[in-house]
Amino acid sequence: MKSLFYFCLICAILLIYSCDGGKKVSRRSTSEFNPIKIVNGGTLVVGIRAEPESLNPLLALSQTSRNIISLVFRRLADINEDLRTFTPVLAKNWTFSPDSLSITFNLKTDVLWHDGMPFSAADIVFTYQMQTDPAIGWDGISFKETIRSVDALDDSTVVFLFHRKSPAMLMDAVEGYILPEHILASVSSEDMHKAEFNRRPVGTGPFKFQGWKDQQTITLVRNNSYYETGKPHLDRIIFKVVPDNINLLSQLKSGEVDLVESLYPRDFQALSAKWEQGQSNIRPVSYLGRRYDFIGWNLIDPDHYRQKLKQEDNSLPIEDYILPNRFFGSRKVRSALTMALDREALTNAVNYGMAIPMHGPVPLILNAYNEAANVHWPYDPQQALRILSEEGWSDTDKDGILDKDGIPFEFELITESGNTRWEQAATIIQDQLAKIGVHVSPRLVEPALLYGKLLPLKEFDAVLIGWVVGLTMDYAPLFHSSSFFTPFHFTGYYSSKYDSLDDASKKSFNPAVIQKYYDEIAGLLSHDLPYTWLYYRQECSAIHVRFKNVTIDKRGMFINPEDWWVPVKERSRIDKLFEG
Amino acid sequence: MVSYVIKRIAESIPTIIIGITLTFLVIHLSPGDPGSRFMDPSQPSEYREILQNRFGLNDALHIQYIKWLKQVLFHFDFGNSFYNGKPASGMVFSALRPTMLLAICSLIFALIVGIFLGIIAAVYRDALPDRILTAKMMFFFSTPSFWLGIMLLGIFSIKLGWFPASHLTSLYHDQLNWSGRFADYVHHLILPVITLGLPLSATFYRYIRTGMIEALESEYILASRARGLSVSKLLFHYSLKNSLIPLISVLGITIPALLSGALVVEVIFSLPGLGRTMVSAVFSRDYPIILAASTLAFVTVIVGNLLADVIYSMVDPRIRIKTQGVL
Amino acid sequence: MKGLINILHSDRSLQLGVIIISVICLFSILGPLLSPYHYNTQNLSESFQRPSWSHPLGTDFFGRDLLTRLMYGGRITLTVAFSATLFAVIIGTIVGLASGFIGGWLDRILMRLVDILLGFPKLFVILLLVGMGYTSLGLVVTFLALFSWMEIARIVRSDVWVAKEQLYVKSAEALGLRRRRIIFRHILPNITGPLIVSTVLLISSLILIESSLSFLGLGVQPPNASWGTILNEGRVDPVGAWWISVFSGIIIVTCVIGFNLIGDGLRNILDPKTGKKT
Repeated sequence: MKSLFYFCLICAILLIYSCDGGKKVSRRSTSEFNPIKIVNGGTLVVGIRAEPESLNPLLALSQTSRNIISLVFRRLADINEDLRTFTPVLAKNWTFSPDSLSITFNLKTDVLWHDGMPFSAADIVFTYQMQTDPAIGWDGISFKETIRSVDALDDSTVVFLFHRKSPAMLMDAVEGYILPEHILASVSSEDMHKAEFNRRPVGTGPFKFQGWKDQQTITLVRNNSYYETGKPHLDRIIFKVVPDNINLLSQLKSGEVDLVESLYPRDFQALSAKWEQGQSNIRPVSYLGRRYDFIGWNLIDPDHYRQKLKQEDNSLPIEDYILPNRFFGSRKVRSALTMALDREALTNAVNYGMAIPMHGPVPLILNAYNEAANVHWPYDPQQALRILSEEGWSDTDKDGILDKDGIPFEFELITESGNTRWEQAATIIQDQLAKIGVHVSPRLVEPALLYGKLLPLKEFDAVLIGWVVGLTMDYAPLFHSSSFFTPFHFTGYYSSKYDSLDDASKKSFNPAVIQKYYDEIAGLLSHDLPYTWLYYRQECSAIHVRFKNVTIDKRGMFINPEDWWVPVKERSRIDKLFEG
Repeated sequence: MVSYVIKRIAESIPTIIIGITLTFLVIHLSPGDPGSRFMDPSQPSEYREILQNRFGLNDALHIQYIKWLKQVLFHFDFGNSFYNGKPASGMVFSALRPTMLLAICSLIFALIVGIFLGIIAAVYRDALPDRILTAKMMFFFSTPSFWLGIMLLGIFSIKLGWFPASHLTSLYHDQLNWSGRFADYVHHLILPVITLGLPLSATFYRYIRTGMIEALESEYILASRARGLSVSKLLFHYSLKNSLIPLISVLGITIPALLSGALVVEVIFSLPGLGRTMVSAVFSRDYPIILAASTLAFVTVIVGNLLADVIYSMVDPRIRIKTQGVL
Repeated sequence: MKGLINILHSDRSLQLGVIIISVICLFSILGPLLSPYHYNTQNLSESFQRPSWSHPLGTDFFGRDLLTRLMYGGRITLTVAFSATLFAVIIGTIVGLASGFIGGWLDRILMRLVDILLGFPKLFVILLLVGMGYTSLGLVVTFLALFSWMEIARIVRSDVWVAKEQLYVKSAEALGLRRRRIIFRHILPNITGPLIVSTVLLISSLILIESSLSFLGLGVQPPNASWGTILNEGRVDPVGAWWISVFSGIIIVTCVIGFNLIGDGLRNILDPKTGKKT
């Protein structure tokens, strides 16, 4: 009796799961619109996985927070797609001084903060002070290192004075959103992280903050006094927190969510297939992202390093801290491990084709990227085995694992728990290296432990993580000997050649010379392999087709949100509910 | 009764204090650095110190503890979230509301289903309806709520699209009128309530069924039957009343289980409750939130137990209140 | 032996439960030896295959055979549940005996501790403990055990109280037998019945908690997996790759049902008065 019941129940579940509804959606034309017909109105619902931590540009770290902030706040100028030139935003224009050591910005005079107060040069000076306040800890502080001072000449003119000439002066000056002095001046920098402003931001952007329901939604509405008259066109943008991926995806498909910035590649590919068959209203958009993943090898012996640290004698030269790691101390072993990895297969498997195998340190998005400068290590397990045996690693006890002086080649590959892509990559690497007799144990570690203890104290064998790339290239925190003891220099890489190249690249002002140094750095690092770079990710986004005039490229999702609009005919249920 | 309640409250204070002290020790002694998530390679390494200071993690452990306890006891201030700087007590209280809503609705659902089916099973004892129900309830009793949740979510909201897959309310909730809002809540809560309530109803079912069978077989019922009292009156007036009493005692111990279950259900259905707050706080090492959420969970459990005991003694004054929990 | 068979025959739910659990144990212990696949052999070209003749329950992301993975997962899940239960029973019995037999202030302190621990929402606390450190199997077992011995302790304690009052213990005491001897000779055998029932039920509840933890991403390290981990892997796409979450869920439910049936059956036999007949 019981078993019959269970059997029926299970059959019912299986039946409902396996029947596949293949419905065809009629897609309205995506043909070009006539700019004269643009109408205001419409609601954009953005699906986000986690609540933003803060809407204060000084404290925001996650991509979600930055996205919302980019709608509420404005910079002096925005970077163009070439990642070299800039378009004025709050600034009207700017001029370099004859000695190229200062830039003078003329500001727009008709800009209002969302609370109605006028925007002025004092806000720029104030923002600079906040950005460089070490107690606040703005994460873009390194941009401002070259700046000597910022002064307001009058209400609409600001002068940035620099310590030295560099090609990135303009970028350094305009980086960061401008903050309202009249609101934040009364907040001490120690209390900035708990300021009310972080939850109810006031900016100068096209959308203003309306409300925040804990763990549910954040609503922005049109700023009617935006300085570009007639813009923006959308009535409101709602950020809806949906942590669970399958939920998020199903809401995107059902139209409850219009835009998702970062889809899983597998879901993205499925959406793209439907879109190409004309069965879907959701337009997939992919572009070069900002993330790459890599394996970091620990080049030095962790125990020796810790012992030396305990001696608390700061006068020791760095060489004294370095005892080559028994596995990864040798460059040849690292190159052999790199050659034993089928990066192509790994990349495609964990990214469903939405990533590019990466061979050297320079992110693909940067202008400094030059694939020819990298040393390439092809997939060749046989060659890898030969190199390893030259280095003394061979399977003497016939247990299937290489060994040397009685030590088997076994190590832990740690990665951050909760990141499916990295867990998958680590599991595949474990499988690939097992084929040449190297025994890898993947180990998932929660982030606070990983970044707070294991990496800073170099207590690991190998680590699989990724970096998010900024728009400037600076490898000093990762590889330069001046940062040897800092948390992110966890590989223990020490090369005087690298140091001199890095220093030289920063002193030069000539773009061609700088590029030469960058190429040399790329060549050196991809030869020395403190990291084995795995792949550079493509961002997988999707937006409902009813939104017109949407520009999405490698700069991100919200480049021109003030220009987005929805034709009246195509308004959705949610659009109408809010209008009614 | 009042003195009893006061005594119980006084007794539960050490429980709460030991609980949160242990929680405090666990999170502060665990390896790792909660500030590390705010660091990135472009920041100067001195920022680490600043963060430690900001979070108050630089002092010796016992000083941190005393400071924290003082703030909590005298100012009811659990500190501010490391993650977003909001006051922890506020965040946790706003998260408690959806959890209570979910838990209470599930409890009511479970009671109704459990009692109703329990009566049917007892009346048709050992006949077909009883066997089917008992087998079915064994199934729900053994089903982990996360699996039930995923199945319901997969079938009814993703595949069939009948119910929303996340949140407590629609985006346009505020635009609706009174009845629309109510319907909106119901629509969003059905699946989570079933997920949390069904396994629980299986527990209640077992108690009711056993209690009813015992009562129906007891001598005075048999005697009343012989005297010709109506069956329905017998069922609802005498038997049910007697079999409800052990159920109330079970309520007390179901409350911790209900909170644990709500944690999983909130994660699956993306509900903004205490459980999800706790899970994300643990994963992001948000100490003030972890402490506030656990304190609140302890308090909820104790208050729930107390309520169950009080109701118990009101329903059945013969039973002397024991100072210990039930079972 | 004959007595055992008699017991088995006397209760239907016990019978069914024993059959289910035996099948699952065989499935987990012998299954991997018979399977043509290794639980960790990846084949990326066969990623997320539907159930078919070559893979009766389909494959996972890495192209690994789900059936074989579930067999191995059973080993881990059952090992965790059994060993945590073992530790919990040991702790609970010791505490219960001490509390019941010695009594007095020790009893009051221990029972207070039991009350406190019972008041903790288990999953909250274990989530916290496991989430804060290195996640490892040993740690999961330890914490599961540390938070589940209380009910055993209560049962043992109350049974000791009852037994102590009984004549034969009193007379043993009067005869001047040593306490330890009284405990082991007279009281322990007397309380094994209720102890076995709650032990079996504890196993099933620990399987559920372990699965919940793995489901939340805490627990076993890859490439190993418990049933809960496999279920969690299926969450990536519960509709498109339904076989992962459906089958791993079914096996968890079946196993828990099995233990619950055994527990119910044993209770009926050992304590017919309070047991619920099915």
